Amino acid sequence: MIGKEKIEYRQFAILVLLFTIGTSIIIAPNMLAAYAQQDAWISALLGLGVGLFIVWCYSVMGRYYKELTLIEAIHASFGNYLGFVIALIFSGFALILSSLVLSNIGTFVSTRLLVGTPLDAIEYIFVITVVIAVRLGIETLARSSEFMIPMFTFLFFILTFAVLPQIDWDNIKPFFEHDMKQIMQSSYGFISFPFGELLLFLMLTPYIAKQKNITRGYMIGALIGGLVLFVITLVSILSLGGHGTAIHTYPAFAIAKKIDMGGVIQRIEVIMAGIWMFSIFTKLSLCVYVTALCLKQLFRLRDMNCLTLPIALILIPLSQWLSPNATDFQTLTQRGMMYFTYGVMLIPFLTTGLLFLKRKWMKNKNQS
Amino acid sequence: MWQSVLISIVAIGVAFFEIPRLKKMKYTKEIWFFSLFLLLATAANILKFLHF
Repeated sequence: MIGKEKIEYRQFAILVLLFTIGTSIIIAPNMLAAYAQQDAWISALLGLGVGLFIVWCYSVMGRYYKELTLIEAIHASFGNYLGFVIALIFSGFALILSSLVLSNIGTFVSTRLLVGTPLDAIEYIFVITVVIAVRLGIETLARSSEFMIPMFTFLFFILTFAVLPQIDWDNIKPFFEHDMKQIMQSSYGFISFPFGELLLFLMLTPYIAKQKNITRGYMIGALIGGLVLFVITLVSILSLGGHGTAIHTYPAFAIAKKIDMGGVIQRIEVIMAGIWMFSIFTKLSLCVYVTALCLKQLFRLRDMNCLTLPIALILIPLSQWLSPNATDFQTLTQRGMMYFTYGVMLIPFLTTGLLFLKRKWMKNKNQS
Repeated sequence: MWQSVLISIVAIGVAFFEIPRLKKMKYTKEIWFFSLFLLLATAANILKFLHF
């Protein structure tokens, strides 16, 4: 059972928004352009449509579970033994996702911002902040992200408008040069990467004060997050070109480097890196929080805070084993994680189906 | 090599930080799970530092 902590649906929407943007803002343009080149914006739109439909399904399920988190719903529908195995897979997914988020920020900072600093130093320091945030609880996390959002919006608009002088409309032409198959191949990754992962929020839906606002919070967050990703993809294709976007490891950082306003304001990419610092911090904190909550409910413990420090310590070796460097991440880990996400995305659908049938049978039994 | 000693000291520090708090509330099961996870995490960190 969940304690007294409650969040508003607006705070929930902000958490969903920052979770959608975090890490995908630096990787998604590259991932989308890998197959579709200059048509990546079409696959972004396609992915956004399908992703929003999946998020809508999640929100309906979250409303159906009412006071139950996903782990409790799995226990209620699959029973104790099979439920334990499925919940263990879900917890493993949350743990692996958090370690990959950590590896993203670690590689990004150690190759672009603090060149020469060991990866370990960056990851340990980042994890300490996350542990502090997670131990303070979901309410504090939600309020701090609410505080971050004006700064985030300001930086995002500066980034978008300052790049406008650099864009060249010839970069995006010709439309539909790649056939539908390649465009869809790009959008598979985009569906699973920010939108499929939002199923972690099914663990947090019981925290929302008014249950009927779950759909609104989920949809607003995912829609704005998806639009931000779409705009970033479009701007990077327009300014770097389709091939340029595909070969840069971090296209958003590359376009921030190109900002040059009248020769006076330039090289402001580190300030722009604030955007992804905030969002990745929120995403990692949420992932660690959900992992701890999963393990707590899986083993039926009474205290969650005691698990945060061991989880945080285990993240660092896991992140370096799963993706040793950025190239490895792009070629192998990202693809493996995509299939894993698609597999895990089936869990809430199966759980809801079984729970629906079970509740119906119980009703019929009581009537007869 | 020396990092594995350091991470062991950190783990002992974490244990001293958490266990008295759990002991005061008489959460025996939590102490066992916490110790198990901490042991796993420390072992993983030492393996990483030994370039396993």
